[in-house]
Amino acid sequence: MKGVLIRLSQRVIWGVIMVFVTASFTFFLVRMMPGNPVDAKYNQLVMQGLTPVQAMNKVRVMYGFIPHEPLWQQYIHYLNQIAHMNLGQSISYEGVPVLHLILTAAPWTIILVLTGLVASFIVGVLAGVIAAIKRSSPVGSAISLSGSLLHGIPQFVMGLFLAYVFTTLWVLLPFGAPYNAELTPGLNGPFISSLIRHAILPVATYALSSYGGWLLTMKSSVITVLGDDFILAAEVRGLKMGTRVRYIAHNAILPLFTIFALSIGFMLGGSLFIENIFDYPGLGNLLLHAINSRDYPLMSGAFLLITVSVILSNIATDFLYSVVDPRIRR
Amino acid sequence: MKKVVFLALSMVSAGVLVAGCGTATQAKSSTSTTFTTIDEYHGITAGAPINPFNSNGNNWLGYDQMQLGWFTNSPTNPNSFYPGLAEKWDVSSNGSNVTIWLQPNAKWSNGTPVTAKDVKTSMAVAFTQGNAQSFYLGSVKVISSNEVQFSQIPGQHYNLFLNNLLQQTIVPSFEYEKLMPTNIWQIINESMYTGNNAAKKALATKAETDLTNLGKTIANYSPAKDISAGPFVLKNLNPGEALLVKNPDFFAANSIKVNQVVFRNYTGNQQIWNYLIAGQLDAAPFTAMPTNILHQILATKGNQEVVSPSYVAAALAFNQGIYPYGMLSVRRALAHVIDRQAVQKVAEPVVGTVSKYSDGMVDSATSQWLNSAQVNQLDPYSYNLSKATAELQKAGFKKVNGQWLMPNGKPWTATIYTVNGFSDWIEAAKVISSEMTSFGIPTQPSIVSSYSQYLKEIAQDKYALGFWLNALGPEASPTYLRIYGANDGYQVVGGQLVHYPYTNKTQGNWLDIPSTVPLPNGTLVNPGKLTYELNSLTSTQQRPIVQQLALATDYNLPMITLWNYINVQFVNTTRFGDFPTEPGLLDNPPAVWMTQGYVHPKS
Repeated sequence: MKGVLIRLSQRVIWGVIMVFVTASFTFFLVRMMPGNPVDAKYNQLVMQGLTPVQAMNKVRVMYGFIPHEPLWQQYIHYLNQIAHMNLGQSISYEGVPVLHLILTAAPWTIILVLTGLVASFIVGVLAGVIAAIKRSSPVGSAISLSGSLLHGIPQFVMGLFLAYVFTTLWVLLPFGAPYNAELTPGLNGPFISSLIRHAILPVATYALSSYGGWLLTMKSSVITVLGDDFILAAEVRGLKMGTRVRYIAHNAILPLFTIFALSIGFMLGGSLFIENIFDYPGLGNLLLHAINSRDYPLMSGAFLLITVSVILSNIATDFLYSVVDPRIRR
Repeated sequence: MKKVVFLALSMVSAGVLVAGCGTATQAKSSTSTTFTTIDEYHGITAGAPINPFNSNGNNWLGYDQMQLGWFTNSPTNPNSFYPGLAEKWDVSSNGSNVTIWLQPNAKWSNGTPVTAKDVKTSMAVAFTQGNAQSFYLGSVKVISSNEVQFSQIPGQHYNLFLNNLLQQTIVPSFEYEKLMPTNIWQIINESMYTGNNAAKKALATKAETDLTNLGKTIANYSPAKDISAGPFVLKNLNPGEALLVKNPDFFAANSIKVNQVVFRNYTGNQQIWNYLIAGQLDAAPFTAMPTNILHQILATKGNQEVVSPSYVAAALAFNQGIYPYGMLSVRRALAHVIDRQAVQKVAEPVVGTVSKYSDGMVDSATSQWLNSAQVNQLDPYSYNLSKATAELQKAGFKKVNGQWLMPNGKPWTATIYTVNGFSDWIEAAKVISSEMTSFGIPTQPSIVSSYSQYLKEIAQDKYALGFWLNALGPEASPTYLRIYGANDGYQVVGGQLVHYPYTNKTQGNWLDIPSTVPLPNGTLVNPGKLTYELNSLTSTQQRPIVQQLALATDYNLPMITLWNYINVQFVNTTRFGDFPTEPGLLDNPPAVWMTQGYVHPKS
């Protein structure tokens, strides 16, 4: 137990250092990007038909609160804010705290990615086992082919395709909002139904794009396990097919567990294109908006959250893996 | 246990399927009188205040954000307006004093009447946002509960005073008055001091700072709910959609036949295309799109394209301070070398029309300002390489081995500057470069990273040839200020017109147009001075000046106007009919169409 605690504290210390380094890196990186929030807004206003003079006057009033102190002072201020769990105020969302924006957007991303991740994992793993066991049959080949095809299609292509087919060619599903604005949010049937309908396409995009990866990895892992001695021994001893498949799946899934756990860490930043295509109000969309408008505090905040979630999931994976695979504990 | 899990999973799956496929029509407007649209300039920001002064505020102009009037986008009559919260108005002969009378039945959505006090409070707010200063508002006097008198700052005769005044947002005083100190008008008056008294100047500086700080406080203010004097009021909002319902207290509620409006958010043009192709939008602004997408949109049942004039054009501008573009023959030769038809066809085939003239205005404004005899004096500079050759030879250019040599003996090469993201300009630059190169002037396009960078560098005389938005109307003054304003060194300092020469590298004179230029009949005019005069004249007084400026601009070619932009929007006539056709009305938001009695649901 003492050893576990020591390892845990070591991991946490490393995690804190990693967060500090990443936060510092992103702080300077986003400020090194070409352009600035004033220019971005100015360009937008000119595009909207304002004369350059009018646009400049307007951005002066709007962005009067942008910090102008030297970069190192801003950095010290930023670190001080982070230490107090304060990510500052957004520039593009005039005066709104970054933390509020991130906390509002994060649940939508979690719903989208977690559902897609779990669905693709379950289907992909099951299909991978079948594809490996039936690898010499047409069924196995067909399943493998589906995995290879879907694995090769980028998320944004899949998203555009589904959006075109199901919202434009055949208007079967809605898109462009998380739910119908005419409904009152709450635990009521119409709202939940609307929530699910609006999530189907983004979730399906994520699930279909990820399915192939799980399938191919699982298939490869199962084929490796199939050649192990203990499977041969089980077969020789006359164990039932179902029991043998269970043994195979249990051993083959270990590498996928690691990937799955790490994927949860990357969840918050993993659906940028999907959210943009379907105008889903998650962190990906927020991050894109922040980048386009050069909203430094919002960019730094979103990057920081993604970093922290990845580091936390790494620590959690490290520990959970020893629970799933007893050999690690030795 | 396994059975329970299986059952649960089956139920969830069935639920998803039912939810997903059961009511396909819900993907469209849910009721026959729900009007679905998009505001191209106004996204939806869940959590942002319902405050029109916040840059992300969840209010929509014409729907739940009201003005005193709605413009008709007339180039020759900037005081032509549709009534808004003001039923009528009266302007003094010199345009310096305006009296407005509010709609007798105007009410806020909580049933409280809209009064003159609301208008006065709104003007105070306009000072905190820097808006009222821009049209020289000097005083606001409440005459009665529905009558207000406005005056310009003494000595000012800004001819767009009424125009700007009527377009100010009116907010309820019971919401916004509490945000301002009781002596707000004293602060405003102090801020307007322009004399030389040191103490008063110090007070003015302090007052300006106070107003700016107050402006930020007001912009961040978050009212508990939407209080609208418009035809709609915000009911629900999520990050992707906003639902506005009909406001029964609206003064023209009887004219509004639409029960509710859904605004859709969008993050890219692709989404708008998809909505349009699926026939889901009852009205939509134009979005840049390839021609094949336009055809798909127009093939959708009920979709119609609605076109109205736009008072802006794209031009190729010359820096006359850079050799050899100060020579009139050179500019004229290039006007004959550029095939504007070909350029427009490639660069802006959907929302552009070839510009007939280079008189500084869009063609629809030209036809309203100039009579036919004057139009006939305009040179259309048709595509004609022989004329181009003659112009260059006249100026001492020689063509050797297929390339033109300048009178100083050096080969003539050129770079055309344009801006990253301005796809039409970039395409046009490529076509023009190709045409010039074929003619014997090796030319290449160059793309600058951002528009602000472009403006900065063009003002620093880094570009001899660059694209420029001109004819920015509809009013005559801003139209010609795009040429003979700050970009030509003319600025108003302390109420006086000052001309900064090209040699002064800090004041933005990059066009370097001569102070006096000839008209086709040889008369010399000062275009900078004439343009400045436009600012304080009535439309009738402006007419001879605009005519001189048009002739001078076309004759001397400080820039070649390539194409006029046009406003293209879409309506869908499946669920609603009776859309307006008047260009001036079409340039306003659809809620203004509805207020004027248009847009009826189909039974």
